[in-house]
Amino acid sequence: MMKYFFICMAILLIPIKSYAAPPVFEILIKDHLFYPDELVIPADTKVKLLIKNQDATPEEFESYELNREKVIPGNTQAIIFVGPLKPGTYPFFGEFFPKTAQGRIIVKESGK
Amino acid sequence: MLLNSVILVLREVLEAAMVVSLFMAFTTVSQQARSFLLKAILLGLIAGGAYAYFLPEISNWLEGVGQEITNTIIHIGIYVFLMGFLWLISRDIVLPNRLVKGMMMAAIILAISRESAEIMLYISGFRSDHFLLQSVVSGSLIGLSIGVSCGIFLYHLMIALKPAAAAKFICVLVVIVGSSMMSQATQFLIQADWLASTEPVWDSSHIISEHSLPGQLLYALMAYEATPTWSQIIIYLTSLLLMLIVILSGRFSRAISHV
Repeated sequence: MMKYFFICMAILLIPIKSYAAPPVFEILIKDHLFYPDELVIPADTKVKLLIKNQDATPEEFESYELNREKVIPGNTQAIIFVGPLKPGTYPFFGEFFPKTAQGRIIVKESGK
Repeated sequence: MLLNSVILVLREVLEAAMVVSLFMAFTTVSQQARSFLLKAILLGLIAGGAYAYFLPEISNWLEGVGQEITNTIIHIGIYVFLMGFLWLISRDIVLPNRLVKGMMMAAIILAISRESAEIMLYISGFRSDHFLLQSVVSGSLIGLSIGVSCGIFLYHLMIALKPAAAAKFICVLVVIVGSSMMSQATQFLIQADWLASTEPVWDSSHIISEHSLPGQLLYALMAYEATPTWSQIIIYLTSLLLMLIVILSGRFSRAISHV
């Protein structure tokens, strides 16, 4: 029963999956800080965030405004898709070290 | 660090505590032993430990979205088992039926595994820093106690009702919590780019912020998002409707078999 359910889900999902490679933006986590802590991305575009955690400790990338959460174990990297977004500021933080790990994504219309 | 740990652990515990206390109350109302629930909690913690341990590897699966897909499967699994539970009890198949127990146990194991994995990973990050570890562990314990207290509160709220009313109330909450699992699953599929991301339908962050306490409680209960997308809303409502249909069809077939 479960098997068919997943097969059906997978079939349903195929047409919506887009194949154009989205632009990649890198964010580093080092000493519980994000580098850069302010990232500018284009509006109305899906982007791929490549987050490299260079600390030995795990971190959780979290943003209420972007509706994203992902645990990134120490010394590993993770990808998170965001957008397409409207112009604006979208804060994000590291849930495990929220005092220092703070950043924001600034979405700007391209050409401005 | 102490306060961070309290909040982080509380957030994770609330969701699992909700499912556990609903089932605890259901067992009490049905006048059955609760030991199988404790077994499920323990198994959930073991599963959580395994998930936390293998997370670096799991994250690399499926071109880097293994974590999202695993979380999706866990959430869909909880929904399916909660639905099975509703189907059985609406057909008057009640405890100590093995299948009912199985559904309840599976839902608890899955609910606890994901939430506990995150807590274990978080605490394990401090294992080399004994100074911080102390405040992280005490903070986590405080968070855990508050979360468990909320569960106990919910439990007593339900068993204070008359058994028939309590059973109905529990079913309603199972429907709400269950559907919220599907909403969260949708969110993970969008994050993994397996489902197209669309613009939020509304923004209610100025009314109830996700950062606020009511926002967090609503999140634990029904996966509240201040900026939901259409796919989330549609899947949430469909899941809600499906559970109601399951309950009604179970009652209907019971009514027919009684004639």
